[in-house]
Amino acid sequence: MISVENLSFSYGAKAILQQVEFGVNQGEILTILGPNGAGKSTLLRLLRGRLHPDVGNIRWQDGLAHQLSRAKMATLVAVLPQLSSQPFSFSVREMVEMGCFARDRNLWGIGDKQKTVVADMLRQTDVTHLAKQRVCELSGGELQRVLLARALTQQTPVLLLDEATSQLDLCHTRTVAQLLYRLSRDEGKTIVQVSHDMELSAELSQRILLLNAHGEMISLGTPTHVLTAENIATAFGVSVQVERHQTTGALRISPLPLTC
Amino acid sequence: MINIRAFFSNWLLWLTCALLLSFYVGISCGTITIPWREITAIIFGDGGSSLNEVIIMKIRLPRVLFAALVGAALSVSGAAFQAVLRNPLADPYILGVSGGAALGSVLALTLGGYSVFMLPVSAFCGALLALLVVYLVARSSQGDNHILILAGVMVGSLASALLLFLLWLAPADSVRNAVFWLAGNLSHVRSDWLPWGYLVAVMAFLVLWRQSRVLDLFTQGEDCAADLGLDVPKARLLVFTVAGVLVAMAVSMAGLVGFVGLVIPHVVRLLWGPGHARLLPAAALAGAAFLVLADALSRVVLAPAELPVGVVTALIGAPFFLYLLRLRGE
Repeated sequence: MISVENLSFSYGAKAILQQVEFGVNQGEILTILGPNGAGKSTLLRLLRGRLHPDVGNIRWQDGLAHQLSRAKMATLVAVLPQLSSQPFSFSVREMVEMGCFARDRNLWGIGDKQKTVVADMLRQTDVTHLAKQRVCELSGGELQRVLLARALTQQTPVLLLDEATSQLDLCHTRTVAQLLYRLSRDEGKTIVQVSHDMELSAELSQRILLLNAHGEMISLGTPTHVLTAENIATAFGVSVQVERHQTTGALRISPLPLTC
Repeated sequence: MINIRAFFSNWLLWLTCALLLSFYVGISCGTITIPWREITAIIFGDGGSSLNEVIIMKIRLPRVLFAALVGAALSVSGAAFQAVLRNPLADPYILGVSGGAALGSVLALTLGGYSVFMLPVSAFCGALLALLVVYLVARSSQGDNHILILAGVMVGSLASALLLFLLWLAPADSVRNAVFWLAGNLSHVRSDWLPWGYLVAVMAFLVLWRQSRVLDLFTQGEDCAADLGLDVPKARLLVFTVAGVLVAMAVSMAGLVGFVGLVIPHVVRLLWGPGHARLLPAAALAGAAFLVLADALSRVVLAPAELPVGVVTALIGAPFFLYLLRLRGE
């Protein structure tokens, strides 16, 4: 679905990503992991054509990412950005309705069909009860769910998520993870996400791409294959113990105690 | 406790009433006070004294219409700039437009003397030139609003320095004219400007109103707006050009009337929310009503002398804005 070919990118003299190469298959959840400054968010920007690669290409079915128009790209991919301040106090419903812009540009607001989509996405992300509330009054976690609802309202085949669950409590983390899993399994949505939560990523993703601090690929493959103590030590410089939970079979990644 | 938003929920009704009321106040107030009943009779051709008819039809009505035009233009352009710059505290003069217009007008005053034709034309050209320079400088910044604002401040500073140099060279009469004009002044309205002014303003307003949802997207930041499907450079150029023309027109006709473009969109947003489909017409009506009332006040405070309207708007606007900031802080 998306093919990243021999990608290198730098800001001025500083190399951010070096010779990154992978493909994203339709309907899969791919998580990009790596330390701060590894170029994960930059990679998401490159994937949606917001930046031009210095070397290599990012190829979508419809053409090279940076050559596709914004309007076209907004029908292919929706983005959940990292949280930022909201200086204008739109209501939650108004905010989510912005996701309809690529499909419905009517001056006087969205049509009935899009209104149904908005209501559905508010429900799926558990923010219907907040619909009339102003976004500047929301907590970080609530705002994150509202932004996810807006991204889902775009009804694109691909979702790019930049730390989708970073502000969520345990209950909503599980709700959002289940929603993403269901979107991938039932609706065939392709999800590429950046995360720092390795255990959740292992549970949710079909494949994981691990980058080091220099933006080089360390490993790409299934969670069990990528998330080894050796790879994690190479990427993050931290010694960890990786084991499987006896009853659930989930990967458990435990750093060595601070006293060691 | 009263819910202010619910109380003012019918924005169109409230603002239309406010504008009509301001028109009556604006036409009634002056050296000669004209009763409201007589104003209605004269405007609808139903009697009234011939002297008052001349005062209303030749002097006060054009002036009130002129104040409404300038107030609406500044307010709408302020709202548009605030959205694109993603800063509710931005001002329509933020991109150096005021500096360019001031320089253009003072250039006309010092080189050609006072001319009712040359002054607005020169100010208009100065304002557009400043906007163009800022836009060209900031174009390479890939939409970094800080670069845009800094470029505006720098162009404004350069224009101010040149302006001071020109005033230093100029004869005393020209300096007085220039200072009076720079403080914002609606006294030299010409009836033949009005149709053109309204034509430009209505067209610009319709273009901006058509971009309401685009302006909503801009408030999310240019990155998000692009991800939601907006062609940001094209939309930004359109909004800057149209809003810039509105400001240039207002400044070239009335000088530097401050605070309308900053405070009015802010107040309207507080009362009726930030959605631009409603904000732009509401800001136009509120800005028009505010400047008509401020102009009426400028005529009666020291009557028969007349204060520059910019002084009145600043005297009302600055304390009110400080109050809003305090409210925001709390």
